[in-house]
Formats: sequence, structure tokens, C-alpha cells
Amino acid sequence: MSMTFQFDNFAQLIFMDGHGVFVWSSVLLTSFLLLSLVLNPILKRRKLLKKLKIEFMGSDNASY
Amino acid sequence: MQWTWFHKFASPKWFYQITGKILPFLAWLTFFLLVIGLVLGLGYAPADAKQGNSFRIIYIHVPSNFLALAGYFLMAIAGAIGLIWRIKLAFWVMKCAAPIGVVFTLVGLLTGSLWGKPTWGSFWVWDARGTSMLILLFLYVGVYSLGRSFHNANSGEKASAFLAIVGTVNIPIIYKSVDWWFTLHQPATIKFTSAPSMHPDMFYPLLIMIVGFYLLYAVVLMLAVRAEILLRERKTNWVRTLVLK
Amino acid sequence: MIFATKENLFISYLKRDLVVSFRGKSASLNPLIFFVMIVLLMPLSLGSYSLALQKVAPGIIWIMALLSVLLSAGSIFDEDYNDGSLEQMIITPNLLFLPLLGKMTAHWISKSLPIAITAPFLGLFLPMPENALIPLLVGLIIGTACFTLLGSIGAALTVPTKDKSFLLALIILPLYVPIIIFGSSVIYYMADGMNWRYPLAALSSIFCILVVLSPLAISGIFRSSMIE
Repeated sequence: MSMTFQFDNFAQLIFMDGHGVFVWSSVLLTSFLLLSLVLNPILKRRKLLKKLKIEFMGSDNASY
Repeated sequence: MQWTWFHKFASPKWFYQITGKILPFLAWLTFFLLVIGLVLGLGYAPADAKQGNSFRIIYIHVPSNFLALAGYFLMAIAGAIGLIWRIKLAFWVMKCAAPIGVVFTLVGLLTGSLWGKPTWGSFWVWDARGTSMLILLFLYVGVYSLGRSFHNANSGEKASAFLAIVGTVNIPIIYKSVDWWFTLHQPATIKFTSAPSMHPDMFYPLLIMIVGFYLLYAVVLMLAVRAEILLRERKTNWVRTLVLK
Repeated sequence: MIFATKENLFISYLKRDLVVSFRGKSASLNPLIFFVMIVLLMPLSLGSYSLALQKVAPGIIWIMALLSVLLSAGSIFDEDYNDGSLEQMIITPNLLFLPLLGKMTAHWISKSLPIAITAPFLGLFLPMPENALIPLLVGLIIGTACFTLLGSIGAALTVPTKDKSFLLALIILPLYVPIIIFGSSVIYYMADGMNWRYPLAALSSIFCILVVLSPLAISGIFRSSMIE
């Protein structure tokens, strides 16, 4: 599979003959949305673990 | 008959442990596939003869539409399993799949819009596929809102499951009717070409992106279900041991 | 288990609900009055003699009919839920199919059928071409029946919720899309000189599917002990 890089330089890659605005904003928008999809449950889980730890430790300490 | 193996799958603890083991591997694989696919698609695939470089949006648009549709069926099947076999974990999978599906559908719609502007001159055209995707978004939002509107979480999950199943039955009918409506009202002068006939150098990155997106969906779903499991099972012993470790 | 009864469950629930709704004085007419008002408001926003009005009139009448039926769809199980008879209905060993069909038919007769019958007369106000009025009437009769059947599924899902109109609309509207498409196409086909029996046949087949599946779905929902 002989694939060649389609653009002459970095500026061309960004500009894409005028379509760059649309392509790159699609990429950025999608990355932002999908990244938040990934991070949201991770943060939720960590917060929950922290909260449960305090709860469980607290109840253990309460039984002198 | 020995159904114990089946009900083992229903155990939240088993799910949590298994996903904990395979997630790191899956996440890295997903990341590599997506990066490679995107680099190849954005930089190396030849530009389309008619559409130019804007067609590169296909590498995000098509995979996310696939997942939007597949995700709805997964949500409905999870709901059906929960209803038929009374498996809580299935309901939690369904519940997590709803907002994930909303995001994938939204990505599909937004990228389609950004693709449409340079290609056909407007941010939205009322074609059959786009309109069906829009309705799919509303179906997802309906399932999500219904689930959240109950005080009792279990009732909410049952209601969502029923709605998801009713929606699934309707999806082919809705698509066919929108398709029919579109051919009825399509202005004769505008021709909406489907996906450009694919040169292999265009097609392979697309394949990589589709696989990458499927894996991404699986990763995101597992992450969300893990968080839900911890929340719903927080009173059990195994969660207690896990937290205190 | 089906206990054999001399009485036809469909007829008895149909009669029961019709009597209740006609006993309730002005409450029965509200959907109709609402429909008439919003249709007549349309020329105020579009311009009374514009060509646009003539072209969009059938589509808009359909949308207004949909809204009127949708707003009243949520109430089908409310009274029974509030006085406990819904629970009684659910715990009987009889199949729920016929009672539900009877209730939905009564609900359609009292709330949606008046809308379907009035629509052609309103069409004269807009004005719609006169040959389009019969397709409008026939399409709306079948279409409002489909709206009622689907809307009742939404009502069954949202029975315990207070304030349910918007939630109900949200979950049911996507499912209404095929009905709207085929229903308004009946009139547009007529206007364009094509055979309007094609979309009418599609609409009728949707009705046939719904008349069987809707009571089944609702009895599944009720029997799944979702309602406390």
C-alpha cells in the first residue's frame, strides 16, 4: 500500500484548500465531546471511591 | 439445565473485576487505532475528486453514525434482557448506554452539518439519512428523560426499557417512511450523492476508524457501567473491601 | 388464565369510559376547542391570503391535530389510577388486551374523533382546495386513531408521574413521524394528482400493526409491576 502524504507543508494541512476550517473543527469538536464521554465516568468513579472511603473509615473509627 | 454460567455474567462484581482487567489493554488499543486511522485519513488518503478535502470528515462522521445506531439496539437489548431475566446489571448497561448514544448521535449530526456546508452550501439538508439520525437523537433523549423522571430508580429503568424496545420496533418503520418522504419531496435539481466510490487508500483508514469507534464505545460503556456498579452496590461487602483496600 | 364471561370485555370497558367522559361536562370538549383555535390562529401568523397558506394548510392541520391529541393522550389512565381501579384492572386474571382496547377506543371517540370530523370544515376556512377535504378527513380518522394508540403507550409509561404532558410529548413524538409523513402525503398526493390510496394504505397498515401491538405493549407495562 503506497500512501503518500497529501499536503506539501503544515500550513497546507491546516488550510486544506479552504476546507480546513470544517475538517479541523469537526476533529476538535468530536475530540472534545468524546474526551468528556471518557473522563466523566472516570471522575465520577474516583469521587465515589473517595466518598465511600471516608464513609467506611468513619464508621470503622466510630466503633471504639 | 445448568444456567449458572449465564447468571455469572449477571453478577456486578464479576463484571467489575473482569472489566478492571481488560480495560487498560482495550483503552490503549482504541487510542492507537483512532490515532492511526485519523492520521491516515486526514493526511494520507487522497482527496475526493468532487468534494475535495471536506470529505475527510467521513472518517469521524460515518463511524459515529454506525455507533449511534448500534448503540440504540444495544440499549434496547440490554433493557429487554433486564425485563425478561430480571438482571439488574442489564438495566445499568441500558441506563449508561443512553447518554453515550446521545453523544455519538450528536457527533454524527454535527460532523454531518460541518461536512454539508462546504459540500452542498448549507449546514443542514433534509435528506433521509440525516433526518433519521435527528429522530434517533430524539428517541435517545426520550429514553434518557423517561428514566430520570421516576423517583424510584427501578421503575424508571423498567419504563426506559419498554420505551427503548418500542423505539427499536419503530426504527425501521421511521427510516422507511422518512426515506419515502425524502424521495417524494426531493427537489429534482439537487442530486445528493451517497458516499464516494472508494479508492482503497480512502477505504482502509475508514475501516480502522470504524473498528476504533466500536472499541471506543465499548471502553466508554464499561467505564460508565463500572461507576454505576460502585454506586448501586455500595452497601455490599465486596465494595467495602475494595474501597478499604 | 382467561375466565369465560358472558360479557364482552371490550364493549363493557368501551361503554364505561364513554359514559364517564360524557358525564364530565366541558372537559370532553377542550381538545376540540383547542384544535379549532390553533388552526384558526395559523393565518394570523402566515398571512390570510398568501399562497404559502394554501400550500402548507394540510400539513399544519395535521400538526395541530397531532398536538391536540397528544395533549389529551396522557389522561387516559389518570382517573383509573387515582381511584384505584387501574390496580384492580391489572390484578385480575383476565387478559388486559380487550379492556385496554375498549378504553383506547372510548378515549379516541371522545377526544380525537371530534377533531378529525371538524378538520375538513376548518379546511374551508384556510382555504384548502375542496377535493382535498375528503382525503384529509379519512387520513385524520385513521391517523388520530394511530396517535391515540401510540400515545396510550406513553401514558402507560408515565402513569405515576405528575406534570406529564411534556415528558409524554418528548417520548412519543419521534414515534409519530411515520404517521405524520403518510397522513399529510395523502393530501399532497391528491393535490399533485397522484393516487392518494398509496400513502393511505401505508397509514392503514401502521394502524393495523398498532391496534394489535399497542394493547400488548401496555399490558406488558402494567403487568411488570412498575406502578407502586
